[in-house]
Amino acid sequence: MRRAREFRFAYFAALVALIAAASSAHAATPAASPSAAPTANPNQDDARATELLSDALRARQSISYMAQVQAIHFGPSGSVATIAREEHLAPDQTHKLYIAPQEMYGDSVVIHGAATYSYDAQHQRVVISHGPALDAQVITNGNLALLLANYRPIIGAPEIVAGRPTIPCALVNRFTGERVMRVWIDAQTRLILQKETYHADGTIGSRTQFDNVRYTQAIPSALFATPIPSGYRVVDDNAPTSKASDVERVVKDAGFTPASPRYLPEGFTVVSADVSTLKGVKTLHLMYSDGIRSLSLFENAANASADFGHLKPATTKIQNRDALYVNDGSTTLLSWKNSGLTFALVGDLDLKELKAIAASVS
Amino acid sequence: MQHLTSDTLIDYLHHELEPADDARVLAHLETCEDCKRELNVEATITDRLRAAARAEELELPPGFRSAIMARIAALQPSAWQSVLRFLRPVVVIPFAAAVAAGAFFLTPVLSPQTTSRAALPVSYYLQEHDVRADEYPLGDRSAVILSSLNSANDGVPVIQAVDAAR
Repeated sequence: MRRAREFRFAYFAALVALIAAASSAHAATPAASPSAAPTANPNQDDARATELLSDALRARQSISYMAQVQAIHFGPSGSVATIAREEHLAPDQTHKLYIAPQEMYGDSVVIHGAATYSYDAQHQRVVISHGPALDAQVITNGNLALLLANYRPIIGAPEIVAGRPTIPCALVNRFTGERVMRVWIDAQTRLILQKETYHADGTIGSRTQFDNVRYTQAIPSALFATPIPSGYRVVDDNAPTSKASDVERVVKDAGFTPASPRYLPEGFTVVSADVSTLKGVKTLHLMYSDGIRSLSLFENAANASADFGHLKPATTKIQNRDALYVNDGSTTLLSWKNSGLTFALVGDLDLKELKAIAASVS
Repeated sequence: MQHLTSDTLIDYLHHELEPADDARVLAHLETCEDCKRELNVEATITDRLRAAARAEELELPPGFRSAIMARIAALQPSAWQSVLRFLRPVVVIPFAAAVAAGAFFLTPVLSPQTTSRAALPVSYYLQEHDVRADEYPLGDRSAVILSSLNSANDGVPVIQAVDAAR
């Protein structure tokens, strides 16, 4: 996992400013109101929903807990479920131990801020990755601004999740009217206890749910230790990555004239860029997001194609050019070549949408 | 009037001039006694040379040609000679060019995107995307990167979990 990168937050600034007043007033009081009940004033409802989301996005920075987390990804050819025990010590330490499925049993992840230690029991190794020391507050503000620009939060009637009262909040795309996500926010701590994502046709795409959650700071520090077990080898999973303060600078580091899409779905905007070198190939990664959905465009000028390994990609055409694609749950990877560049487009959009984006890359 | 050169007269004598030049030379010879005399000299020399050549011609013995053809037909080339004959430059070079052109043009069709010098595993792309998407608290990627698609740089599958609500 390579996380050495820097964000371009400049474009966020304007959006952040729009919500600064609302977010700053209650940043340190995640347990405060609003109530779940809608009022007769739509503006007040929107303000409460915004406040609720803002609190929820910051909750992990101040709330410690122990819980069992179940995640299910519903795919077209089957579902993948994981169950893990999770301990989180605010603001930024997390330990996660997988107990299901069988092939993941015993695997664990320890997160210390930007550093992630992934213990792979099956292959007896530890994959270590280090991200940049990003300001969580800045990320949260930027994400919330982008999120609210593209999605309307709608608070629902209270529900019980994991034995706790929660406030459901649906996120509806302002351009398409589609509900793409629902989150169930702990009414007291503001922690997100359940999350569901939905496909464009309304069917569920994934569900992440907390069970047996217990709020406590009395978590053994040994859980967050990162020893290298005997016999394990260490994989430092960090490709050399250029760091720059803005997208334009990163693009210059790529060493070639990049291409970018002329078409993006409504609400998507470039949120970051980085250049990494793997196997001697410089790859430019442009990240686009609308606050919930995300899209990555990778490109290199070294004729380095995507290696699908044991996967069996399907073939398709992008403006009469051969292309290959493969699905990973709800995520699709589309790969093609054009004008001396090799591209890979990754996103949780349907293939038709991805192909339209790919066709506009020039 | 300019007289005709010896070369022109010889070409005229052997009917090797272009029709327009031939007509022009003919018209000139009808009015120029000097050139006509020179033409006769050239014609005489040509006749004498041909007569001398015919006098020295030797006829091949009867059956000579048919004997040679019979011996050629009786000779069968060895396998090695066949290979060498196949590998003549006149055959090999076009053949190699055709193979190279076929490989260049057909490879992308037969196995698109799989024959580059350095291929990057799809797990790299998916992982990079997941990491970035996961940096957003409500990003739609959560909980787990499928192990079937996950691999480290050495290509061995890795089970890599990603914190759902980070």
